[in-house]
Amino acid sequence: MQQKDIIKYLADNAHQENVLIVSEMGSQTMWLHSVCDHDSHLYLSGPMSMSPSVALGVALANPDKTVMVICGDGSLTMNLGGLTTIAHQQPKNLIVVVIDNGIYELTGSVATPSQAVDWQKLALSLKGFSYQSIDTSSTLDFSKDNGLRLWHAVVKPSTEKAPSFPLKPVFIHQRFKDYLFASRK
Amino acid sequence: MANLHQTFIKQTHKAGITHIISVPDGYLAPLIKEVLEDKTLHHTHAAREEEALAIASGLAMCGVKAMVMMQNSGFLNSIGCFATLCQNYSTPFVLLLANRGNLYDKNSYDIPKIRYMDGIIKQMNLFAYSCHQYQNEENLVSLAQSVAETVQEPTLLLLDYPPSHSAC
Repeated sequence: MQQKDIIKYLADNAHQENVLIVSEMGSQTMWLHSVCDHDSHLYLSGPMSMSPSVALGVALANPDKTVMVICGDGSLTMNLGGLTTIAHQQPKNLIVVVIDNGIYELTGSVATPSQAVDWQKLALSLKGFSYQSIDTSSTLDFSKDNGLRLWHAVVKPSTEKAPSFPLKPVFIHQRFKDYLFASRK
Repeated sequence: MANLHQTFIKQTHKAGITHIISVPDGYLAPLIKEVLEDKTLHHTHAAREEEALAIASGLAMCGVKAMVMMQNSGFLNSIGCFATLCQNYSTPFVLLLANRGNLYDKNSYDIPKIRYMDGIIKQMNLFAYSCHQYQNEENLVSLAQSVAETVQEPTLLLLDYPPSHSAC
């Protein structure tokens, strides 16, 4: 299983449940866009590591929807404090996915320091978080009121280059906002 | 009789702001405590300043009005986030900064902050306004929110350190 495979599996399942998806800059955004583009996607292109924090804002603004943020192990390691803020806020509708390939995929495949992290122990040490190891056959619970979830997918480094990403930030913002407003009607 | 902090919160409500995200500063702390007392405002304690900008951006991209409170040094730590998220994605919100380091500030470690803050405001052409210059303006927060929505990026309100305040 590579990053592309699990992202496609997550997106396919999430769309059936009308889940909002926030993707971390870099390979998560690139793979998500390439496997399936949708108005409910908030693709980020910077700064690295802030996707869980943006997703917290999205979750607070949309308590009636489930929000899933797709991070890499390298980016989430950069913002472990963000998980603390999320745990303190306790939104019941937020799922944090960490795709763990052990490398910075877009940065010469240099190793990340996250191999020192036990994601299960980390998740369970944070108030309200549950932990699930996932793959492309997992049953996924996207219910909007089932509490904070950390889903951990161990993947092999990609054998193909992440596709280029053509969308501009202002367009992504406006499209996402338009989707939300339309879905509230 | 309402104190200054209560007046500020009243203005915040008037501006339609519903969410506050903060990282404390000694000068901001009394205001943050007032925010915590107001159960109609949703408050988020951010672990660090970059996160606060990102949370507010997430809210803004959903059409929710937010205000961020932090010290100027925290803002200086967050320039990359401000540029690549708040400016690139055009996320309008009000950013209240304790502008530490003026002549009244007794902490020696705060003094250099204002020099770099002034430089960054000029270099980045930020929309920044002094709270003290507009201290009699009853719609200060609404005006700042209106500017943010017009220019589609955060508006900075600079809270200068007053002569009567003890260092903290």
